[in-house]
Amino acid sequence: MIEFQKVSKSYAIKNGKNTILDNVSFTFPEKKNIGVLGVNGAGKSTLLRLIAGSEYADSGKIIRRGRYSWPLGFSGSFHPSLSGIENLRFACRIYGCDIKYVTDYVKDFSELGKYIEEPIKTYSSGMRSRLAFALSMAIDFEVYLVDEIMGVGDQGFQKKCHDAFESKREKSSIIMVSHSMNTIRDYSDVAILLTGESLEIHHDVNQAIDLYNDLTKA
Amino acid sequence: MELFQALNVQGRVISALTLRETRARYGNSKLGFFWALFEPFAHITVFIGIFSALGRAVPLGDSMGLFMLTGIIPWLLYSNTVSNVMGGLNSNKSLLGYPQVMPMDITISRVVLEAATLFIVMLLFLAGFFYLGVRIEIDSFLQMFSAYALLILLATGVGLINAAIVPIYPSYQSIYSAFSRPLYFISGVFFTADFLQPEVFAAIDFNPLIHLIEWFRSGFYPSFQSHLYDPEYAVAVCVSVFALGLIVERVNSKKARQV
Repeated sequence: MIEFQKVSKSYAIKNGKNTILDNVSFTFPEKKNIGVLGVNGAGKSTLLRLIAGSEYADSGKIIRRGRYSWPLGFSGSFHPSLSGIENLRFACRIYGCDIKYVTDYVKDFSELGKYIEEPIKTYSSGMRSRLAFALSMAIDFEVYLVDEIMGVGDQGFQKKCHDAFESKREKSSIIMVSHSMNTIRDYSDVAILLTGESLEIHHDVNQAIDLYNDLTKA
Repeated sequence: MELFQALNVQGRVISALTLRETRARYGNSKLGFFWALFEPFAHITVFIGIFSALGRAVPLGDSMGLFMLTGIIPWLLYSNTVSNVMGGLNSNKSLLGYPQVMPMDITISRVVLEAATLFIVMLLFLAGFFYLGVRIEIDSFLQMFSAYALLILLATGVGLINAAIVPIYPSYQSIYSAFSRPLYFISGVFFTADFLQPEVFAAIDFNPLIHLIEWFRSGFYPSFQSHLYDPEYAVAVCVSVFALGLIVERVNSKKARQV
């Protein structure tokens, strides 16, 4: 369960500020896969970070119950100079997971091979997303926060992710940001459109995508 | 219950970070922990060389090595901790993506690692001196420990304050290191305060480090009890700098999370 109570968030930029949320109160629908839409700079990634708790609101309150993943994105939580294995161990320690189990799962799922011993900074973006996915799948979360990395990698891996989420469907849901409308359509039950100050929920995903397309044309 | 859970999470985070810091510092190069021993070793040998070349007597006790050790350990504890706390956020920024990792956890893990490292280094040197036949008698562990703990507070406070200033005024970094380098010469690393003319001591007694190093040595040597250090002054400075550091950190850490 995640609830925003009068949440405001903005960033200082060169000329004034970029408002992302202005006094927004909102309860996210439970057990639904949510796709977040918004033009560049509307604050999609920031919204995910606020939900995760990686970033704090300027004012207002965010109430969060359940196990939320960290925001799974390219910039990620991985330390660039540590290897895949070392990053994995770090995550296991802070989430209190069994290192042996997670290591075996990630090695198998991520198909990184020998690269798992290499520093993250040598990874391609596809490899990063495979590691992030595999690791977050190994640690059971109730809500997965996915920032753009869905739909990366080859078809085989995409199918693997799809199947993994499908098998977790009972217990887990996804909140995702993506520029690919196909990915949003594939995964989401509802869509949230960020308008630059507030957010609107649309139960018809296709309708939200049409609205989003209008916004990007304008 | 919630507090217990939160402490549990923080404990996990700090221990994971400490492990990661240890690996980053000692795990990646073949020489590893050797470097931690090398720096005090270099200081000690240089001063043994200088003092014997000048034909000077050991300022305290009968071992120049022991005298330098009891000065260099507190000095390194201070200066290494300051720079590690200062650099902590930059070298771990990506880990703040995990919601449960707080900037303060990074600071704590770095301080723990530094304090433990120097403690082990000191024990190894003491063992080495003992092996070479130097007589070692320790007067008061409690006094040594008090000075050690106060040095940690002071250095953590200075490090946190510096870490908050650097992003605002990047040139502050070089200003700080320019001003802190001469500190080595007025902190009593290679002399005791009673060697100085009273006017000279009066001019440098604002420096809390000289008080803390005197304190540390007074705890170590049974034959030495410095009357020049002022424990109340040292405690007051350390505690207030540390408190200021914590306040600054609260403001700074909110910013640190933004990418």
